Amino acid sequence: MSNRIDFSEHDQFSVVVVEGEVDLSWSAELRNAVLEALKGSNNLLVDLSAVSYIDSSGIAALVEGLQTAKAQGKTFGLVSVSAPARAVLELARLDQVFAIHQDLAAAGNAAQ
Amino acid sequence: MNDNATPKTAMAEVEPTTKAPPDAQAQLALLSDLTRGFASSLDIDDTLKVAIGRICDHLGAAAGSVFLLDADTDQLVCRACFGPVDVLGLRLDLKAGLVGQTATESRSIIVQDAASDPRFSEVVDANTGFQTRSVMCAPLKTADHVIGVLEVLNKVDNSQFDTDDLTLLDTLAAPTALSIHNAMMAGDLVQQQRIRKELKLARRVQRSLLPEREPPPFPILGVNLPAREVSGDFYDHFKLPDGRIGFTIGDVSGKGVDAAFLMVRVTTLLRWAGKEGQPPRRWLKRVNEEMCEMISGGMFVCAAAGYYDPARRLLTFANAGLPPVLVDDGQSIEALIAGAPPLGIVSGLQFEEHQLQMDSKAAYFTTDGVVEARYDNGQLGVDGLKAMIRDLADQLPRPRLGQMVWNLREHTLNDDTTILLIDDPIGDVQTLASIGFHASCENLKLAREVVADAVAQATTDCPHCVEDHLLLVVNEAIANVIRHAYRNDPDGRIELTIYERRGKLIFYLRDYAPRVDVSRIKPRDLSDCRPGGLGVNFIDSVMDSWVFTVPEDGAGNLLIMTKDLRRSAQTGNDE
Repeated sequence: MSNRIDFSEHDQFSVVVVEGEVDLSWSAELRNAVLEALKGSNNLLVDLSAVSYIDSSGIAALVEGLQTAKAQGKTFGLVSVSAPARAVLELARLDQVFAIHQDLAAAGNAAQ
Repeated sequence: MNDNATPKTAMAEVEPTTKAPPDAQAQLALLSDLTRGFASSLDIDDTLKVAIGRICDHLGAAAGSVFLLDADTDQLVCRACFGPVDVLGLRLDLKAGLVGQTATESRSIIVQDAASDPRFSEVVDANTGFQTRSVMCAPLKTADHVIGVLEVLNKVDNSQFDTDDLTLLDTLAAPTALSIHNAMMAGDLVQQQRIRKELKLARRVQRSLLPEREPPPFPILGVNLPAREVSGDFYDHFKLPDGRIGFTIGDVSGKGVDAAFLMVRVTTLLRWAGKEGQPPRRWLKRVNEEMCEMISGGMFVCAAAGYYDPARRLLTFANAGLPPVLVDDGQSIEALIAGAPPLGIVSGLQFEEHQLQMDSKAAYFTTDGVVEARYDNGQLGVDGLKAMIRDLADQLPRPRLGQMVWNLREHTLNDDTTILLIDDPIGDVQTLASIGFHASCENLKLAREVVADAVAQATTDCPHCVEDHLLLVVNEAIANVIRHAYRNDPDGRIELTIYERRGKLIFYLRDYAPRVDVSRIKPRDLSDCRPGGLGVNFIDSVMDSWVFTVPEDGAGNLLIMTKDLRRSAQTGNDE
């Protein structure tokens, strides 16, 4: 699986869709993508459904996104978190810190 | 000359005056000339010879000498002289004569008529044929003490020395003393350097007596840390034709050069006697008899000697005065106390022999420097050493020994410190993977694949979630090396080796980067939500144990992480 990042716009939120293995060789791009997307969105979701691996540098990019959003009064969440990504979030006890949504519909409900 | 034990007549001394000396220009020229000469040479004798000639010339003196104090004999020795008579090497008593008095009282003396001075001795004149009429002596002083005396005799024109002459001699004594002092210090330095060089050489010779390290898997490993340049400790191992491996370890009483010399003789003797292959109790008995003849002066040697038979996995040894041999069978650690006193004290001794079926046991022989390593408030002791062994038991023999050395170095080692480890883990350890790669994050994926392969090869089942965590942890560890140890320099080299031993996966991650401060590596508080710093936390929560240390060859950093798969399999997950 190759690594890629896509953006999609929805009624209530923007979504950054991440695909592949996020490690130190690539996490800087995820960080830039998240921070860039936050500039144009008040409600950002990061879709991790196609993330087969994520390491602490990838998690750090997500934490930075969350902190930036909070500081600007925006909302930031994770959606469709893959099992490998969830395992790492749990290991770091960050599953309690992020708003994690089952899917976009659930995220939409939560936003209302 | 001026040395005399029987006073004849009293003679007044003339204190130097403060009146400006005549011909100041010429004196200044002389002073600058002498100082320059002193500055350009650190050879005392050459410089003094030239200097005393110039001084005599300037003062119009017929003869002169420079005497330096020999603190060992309390004598003043002539190190340079000028004039018709050669008195080089002449020794004068510090407690008598004009020269002696000048030195002991640390002030200059002028005697205008030697024949009538009570302190003047005719002995030297009688021996040399020189006839002393007039004498001046000035002390050669450094900041804290007198190091010698400058003496001039007789005016060439048969007149007498006057106080101006004495003032000048005093003036000239100052740079002379300074230059002598400098040359002496330089000499001391050279001497110290020479001694250091020789001790270094002695250390090298001693090291060459330690056995060469055998490539693994060799069941006997040793390490020797000398407290000073040379060591009184030793260890040795050698192969016998029947396949057994003989070994010795010992500690000569005392430290320093005498202990080192005895150590050389004892190792040779032990090896020579051990090559006969006789049982250790007879081996040590024989060496003890020999040493009782050879050693004197209260020296003795604590030693253990024995054989390991790899075919039968059998260890046989005898211990004469070394600390208890610690045997770790994986469950508990037994301490086998020495069965005999040290060698070289009493002849006719009997030596108790131990025989152990090793299988997967490890035996630690140590000299007392190990158990006597200082903690903040006490010694490591046998219990401390046991605890250290228990903590490191999962590690492979060579890195385990390296880690012990590392731990011991954190304590104060007052004595030579030597450890001999007998551990035969053949069949016990399997290498699942071993790769080297550049410190580029492009290689993280490769490393994860290697870990996945290794986990698949392991004979112990690894739950899927554990595997995921192991991939993550190794990835994090490597990322830390790339970022923090190599600071993103992609030329850096990283080596990853994965072993399986007794149901545990053991990861060795080694780099060649500058030493990383171990104290800075600790997991962060997870309640503190911030980017970064999670890697160590992952390692800490996933692995059963990890240690960050220095590779045995001393270069770079080594991270050893252990994961007990059996324990994970029992709980079915990794929480």
